[in-house]
Amino acid sequence: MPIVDKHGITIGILAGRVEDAKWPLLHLQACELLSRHRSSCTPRKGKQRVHRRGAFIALRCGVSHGGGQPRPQNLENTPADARVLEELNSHPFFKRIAGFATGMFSRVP
Amino acid sequence: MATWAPKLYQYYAEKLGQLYAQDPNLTRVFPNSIFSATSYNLGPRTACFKHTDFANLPFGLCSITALGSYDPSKGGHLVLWQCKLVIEFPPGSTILIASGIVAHSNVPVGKDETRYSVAHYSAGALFCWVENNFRRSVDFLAGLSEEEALVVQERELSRWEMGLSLLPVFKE
Repeated sequence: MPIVDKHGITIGILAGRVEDAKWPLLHLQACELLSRHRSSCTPRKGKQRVHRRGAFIALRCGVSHGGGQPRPQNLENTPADARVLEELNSHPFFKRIAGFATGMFSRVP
Repeated sequence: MATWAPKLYQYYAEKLGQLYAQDPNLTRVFPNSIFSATSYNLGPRTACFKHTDFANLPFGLCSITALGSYDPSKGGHLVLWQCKLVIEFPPGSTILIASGIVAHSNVPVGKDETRYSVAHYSAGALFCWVENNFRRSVDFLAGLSEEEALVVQERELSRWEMGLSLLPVFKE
């Protein structure tokens, strides 16, 4: 379902959730991973503990540009954070979400 | 096949495709994704402050998925401030929003509940990099002739119109 402004321009899409009998189980597994690995991440201090978006650990990966980077680069992480990211990125819940969001972006089947 | 944002999707696919093709060192974390970066928010009770993701493409969309164990009728709502909307956001569901222009935040969940989120997005600067022939704006502009500069200035002045034209319009 689209969210539109007063001119009818789309500024958001309520995408719903993946329709799959296994989804509740995958969701539970993903929650368990996130909960368990909070303490595996490199401890945050100062501005990293409470940042612009809130008071929680945020792990980032992929390609970014800006904030002083001279060119687009892969986001770098500490070895501890990188290990957690590897596990999260390979879990079926997160792989499916990436594809699901992409599919919703481009089309509704 | 119904479509939500096919023109915007095409723009992402084209520009980010050129980005990855030009620099083989850049890795796609999720090869099935149109987004270039991912952020996991580990909570345990993730509640974002009101914020706007200025680094995102202003006419782009990011994806947010909520996870956790919480009652979505009592907490975890997504607030879209300019729209004056408060949206129930059940665990496991996904929303796409223009996070670069719409200020957003979450209603906290209860102290015995958990909420995590994962967001996918593409930095606006990636698109500029490609449009500037794989240079920083400052280097790109410094290398232009006067005639070229006029063409680029024209392009930049109408960029907001180009961006808006990529977003689907729904009329009653």
